[in-house]
This record gives sequence, C-alpha cells and structure tokens, in this order.
Amino acid sequence: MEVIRIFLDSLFHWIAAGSSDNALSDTLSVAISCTKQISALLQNCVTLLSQFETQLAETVSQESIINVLQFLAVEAIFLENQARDKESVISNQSIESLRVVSMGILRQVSSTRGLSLT
Amino acid sequence: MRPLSSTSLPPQSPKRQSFAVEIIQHTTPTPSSSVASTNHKSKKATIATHLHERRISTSPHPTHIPAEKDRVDAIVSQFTTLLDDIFEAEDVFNHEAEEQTEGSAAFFSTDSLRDGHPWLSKEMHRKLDVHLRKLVRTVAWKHGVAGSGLRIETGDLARITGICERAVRAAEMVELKELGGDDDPKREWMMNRLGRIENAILAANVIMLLITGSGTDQQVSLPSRPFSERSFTDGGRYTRRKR
Repeated sequence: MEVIRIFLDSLFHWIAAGSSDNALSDTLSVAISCTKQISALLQNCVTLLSQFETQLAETVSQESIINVLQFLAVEAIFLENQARDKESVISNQSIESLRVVSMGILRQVSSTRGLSLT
Repeated sequence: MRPLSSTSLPPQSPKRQSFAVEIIQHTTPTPSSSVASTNHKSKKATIATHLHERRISTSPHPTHIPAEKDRVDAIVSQFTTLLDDIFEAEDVFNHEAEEQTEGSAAFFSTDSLRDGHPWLSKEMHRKLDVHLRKLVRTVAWKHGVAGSGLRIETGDLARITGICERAVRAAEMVELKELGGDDDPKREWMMNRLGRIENAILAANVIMLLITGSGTDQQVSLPSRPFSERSFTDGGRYTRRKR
C-alpha cells in the first residue's frame, strides 16, 4: 500500500507542478524524460488497484488500508486533464484509466462503510 | 464452462441430442444459465427420463473432463516447477560470494544480490503473475473438478509470498519527489527508483493473487479468511486448515 501511495503521490505532485506556469523543476524534467516507464508503472498500479477493489468487495480489510485507498482515489478522480498532453509526465488516457479504477474503489469503500453515494 | 444447448447440435442425431441433455444436467448453474434454465427444467427432466438408458452408454465426449484435468495438471506442474526453481535458487544463494551463480542472476533482482535475503526480478514476478492468472481461469478452480490435481503446498505458497514481500518492503522508503544527491546521472537515478517501485508493484500483484485467488476475474469469489488458514486443496479452492 505504501508503495502505491509513494508512486501516486509523486505522480500527483508532478502533474500539479506541470500544470502550473512556473519553470519546470529538476525532478519534473527528469520525470518527463522517463514518461514511458512511468506509464507502464501506472498501468501496473491500476491493475493492483483493481485487485484491491475486488478484495474490498470480498473481505474485510484494515481501516488503514481503506483510508489510504479512499484518499488516493479521491485525489485521482479530481486530477485535472493535461492541456499539453505531449509535454506532461503522463497522458490523459492513462489518467482516465486511473480515474475509472478509483471510482470503483470509492464505490467499494462506500459499500464497505454502509454509505450511499447518492 | 459455457453450457451447451441442444440448438447448437445437429437436430437429426438422437445420440447428440442425448449428450446435450447430459451436459445441462451436470453443469453447475452459473448466474446466466440459472436464469435461462428455470422455464426449461421440467422439459429437460422429461427428455432425460426418455433418454436415460441411451444417455448412459452413448455420450460422445467422455474425455471432456479428463482433458480439462490434463490441462489443469499441466498448468499446476509448470507453476510448481517454477516455484521449485525459485526455491532452489534461493537455497543456493550466497550473498557473500564474489560471483553470483547464473541461477541467482536469472531469478533475483540485481539490487538485492548484496543482501542476505534477495527478492525476485521483474521478469520473475511477471511469470508468476501469468501462471497464477492461468490457474485462476481454469474450470477446476471455479467449480472444483473432482481429483483435478490442483494441489499446491501451503508451505510453498507462504514461502513465495514471503519472497515477494521483500520486494515490496525494499521499495517502501523510496523517495521520488526530490532528486538525490548521489553521483548517478539524474535520469539514471530516476530510472533506478522507478524500477524498484515497478518491481514492488508487480510483487504486490502476485501477493494479491495469492491472497484472493481471484485476480481481476470477478466470477471467482472466495470466502473471507486470513491467508494463514488457507491451502490450495479441494479442487483448487482455498480451504480452511483443520486445527
């Protein structure tokens, strides 16, 4: 869980930094040069999150895991699309797949806690 | 298993018609088949009664389940062989040796070879992932074909889970937001850390498959029990250990 959090946190940080008008930081410039690997990593991350979604539906998970999943999912859903797709760390299409799985996780978290999304 | 309907077979062959009835009778109802079958149950029962004697002797594909069993056996055999190879490589691994063996280099991540407890490489995690997903997709896994041979030792599963956990733990302290002050070129620094995180996520995928036994296949649902109480027996499903 911690590994997913580290990666997605960094990704959100890079996306936010890329959206601002400030000059690119060193880390962001390096990250942009590794776009291909970051995309592959995000894809693996989405697969893992979908397994967490299945797990949430079937078993009782620890509250700490549910909390992390919930906060990551909320942040992923409200990520802004990149205006300049080619110059960003990650493509809008990859962000979209992250959003889809995040919505599934939020749905499972809500049903786990007996909440209604409507 | 997709239920066969009598409409998919030549209508003129009485032998084949009886086979279709047999399959429907013996198939465990899935949500889709159970909905459709409600209105036809009495009709099927009547046909089954009329064709009872013929059905026993003329089923044209009695090898259907054995063929599935062979396939499952082959998948299980491949998986257990891979596990054995990994365990053997771990047993002979010596982190103090000046030159690592070919086995260690093939199975373990190069970052981990200096450590006493190595973790698997990305390729190995991918292989394990593929094997586990193949197992999950088998009919034996879903329906528990009697004597399917889908048996894997719990000790082996616990050991491979432990090895995968090392890869995850190794990436828990990785910092990505700020560039390090190492002498490495910046891009190499980033690639190295992304590689570690990717390996950890692949390992976590394998662990999740081992824990849930379901992967992304939503049709397979298993009871909620801790991993320590499960074993791969009973036709491929996890069962509670007797204490």
